[in-house]
Amino acid sequence: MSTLGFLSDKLDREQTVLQELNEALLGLQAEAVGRASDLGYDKKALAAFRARLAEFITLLQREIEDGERENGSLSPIVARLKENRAKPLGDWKEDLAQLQAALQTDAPLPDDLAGVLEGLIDILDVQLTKDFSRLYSR
Amino acid sequence: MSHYRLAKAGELGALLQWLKRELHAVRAGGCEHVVLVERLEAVLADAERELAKIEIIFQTEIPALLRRVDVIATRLENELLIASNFYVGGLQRQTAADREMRQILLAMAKRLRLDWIEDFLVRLSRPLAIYSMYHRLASIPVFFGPPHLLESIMELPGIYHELGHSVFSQNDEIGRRLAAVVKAHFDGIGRSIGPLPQEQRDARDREIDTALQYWNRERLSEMFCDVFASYVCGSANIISMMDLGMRGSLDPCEILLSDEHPPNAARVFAAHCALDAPAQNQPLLQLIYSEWLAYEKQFNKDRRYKIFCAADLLRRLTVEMVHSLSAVLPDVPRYLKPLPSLADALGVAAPIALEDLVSAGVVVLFEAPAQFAAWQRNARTLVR
Repeated sequence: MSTLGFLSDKLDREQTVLQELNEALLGLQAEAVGRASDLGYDKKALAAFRARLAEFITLLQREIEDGERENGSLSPIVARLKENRAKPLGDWKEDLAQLQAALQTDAPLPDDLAGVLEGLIDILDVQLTKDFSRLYSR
Repeated sequence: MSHYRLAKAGELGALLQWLKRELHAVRAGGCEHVVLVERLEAVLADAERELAKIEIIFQTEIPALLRRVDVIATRLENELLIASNFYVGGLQRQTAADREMRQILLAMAKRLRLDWIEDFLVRLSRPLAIYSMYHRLASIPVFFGPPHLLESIMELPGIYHELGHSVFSQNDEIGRRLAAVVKAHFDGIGRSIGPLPQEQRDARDREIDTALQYWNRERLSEMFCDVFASYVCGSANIISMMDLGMRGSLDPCEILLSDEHPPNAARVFAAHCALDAPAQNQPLLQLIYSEWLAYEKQFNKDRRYKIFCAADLLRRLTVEMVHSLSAVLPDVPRYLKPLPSLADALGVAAPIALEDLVSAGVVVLFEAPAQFAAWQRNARTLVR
């Protein structure tokens, strides 16, 4: 029985989410060091990046609180946050709330909150790499 | 600056240029898949822009931005490898059999009103499978099948299962509805538990949570594809699935957390549930299904199966799948024809839809197996 059908769908969803979040974070990090225009990001693009990240945080908060599943794309993050012994779930919730508040302003994203986003994106990156390796295991 | 990052970007650039040259050669060779080639060229143009962005980030030498490059490079590599392995590789090696199957699939997609499908890239070189979604492109799946696919009957309903993946990928609403059914079912079980000592309650909660996690999007999609195949192909799909389940004496009730497919007992049950009552009551189907049930009884349904794959849950899921199909895709025709008589099955003639031919084929296989080989030779000429 093939796993290709669902795997292609899963990979594509994971790739899309990862690409959107990574580019949004890149844009805000570039803005924070005054290099956004070098990468072609104007104010409108940066506002869209903030909105995309805020939407992601909202979905993540909802999934952590209510167990709602957004087509499974956030499940790896929720699972990792719940099993993380070094940082209790309550601390993550606080970080997410701070991130959400910071994304509602036009101020540059502080490094510590950018770091939280980096951690979340890393989880998605690892999950995608694991899933992708199932296509080409050797 | 990391040497690995620079090397990776260099290799991706070379791979991108090779893919562009190959697509150009495919196009110049008079390829039938013009729309696909155009879409792939657009994907490569996006990739080229991303590579240019990487170059700019390299020049900044800012560590936080360089870390974003790693993620971009991983994604680009994934996309280019899929373009190469699944798409360009197929475009370079189209055979006469691939082209024939493509026409059959296009006619099928039209008949089943899968309106988002624009084309298929077919490769009859491996067992049944579909690459259904690439770069948000669900309209041109890569379809894989064994070289003998059109010479068989039992395997043919598997085509509808594979098309089901495209249906599921294309319609997010279906996945959401099914996830809600699973959550409601296990929430209900959680609420119905009476007073228990704390330790037992915790263990029970963990069990329910594991069951809830078991029904992830992947397993729901596999079961949906089974139900979709029953919906559009009818009784023949059940027989095909029983054949799949009885091969090699596998335990059809074993839950494997490492396998994204639900156990065969649950899949056959759901596919059977998806038939309407007249179809379920057909004597031939009853006879064959009772053989399946007898096979299944040789194996124990353990506690885990009874919780994860409770008949009540499977029934609710199947009802929702059928309901979702009629609600979300009302034009997709449900196959409600009864299995033909043996005389009608033996007398099949053109023009005939593949679903009708498969139904006739299973009747001949089970009621007159000695005549099947001769029937198959004639039937093969009718497949369009």
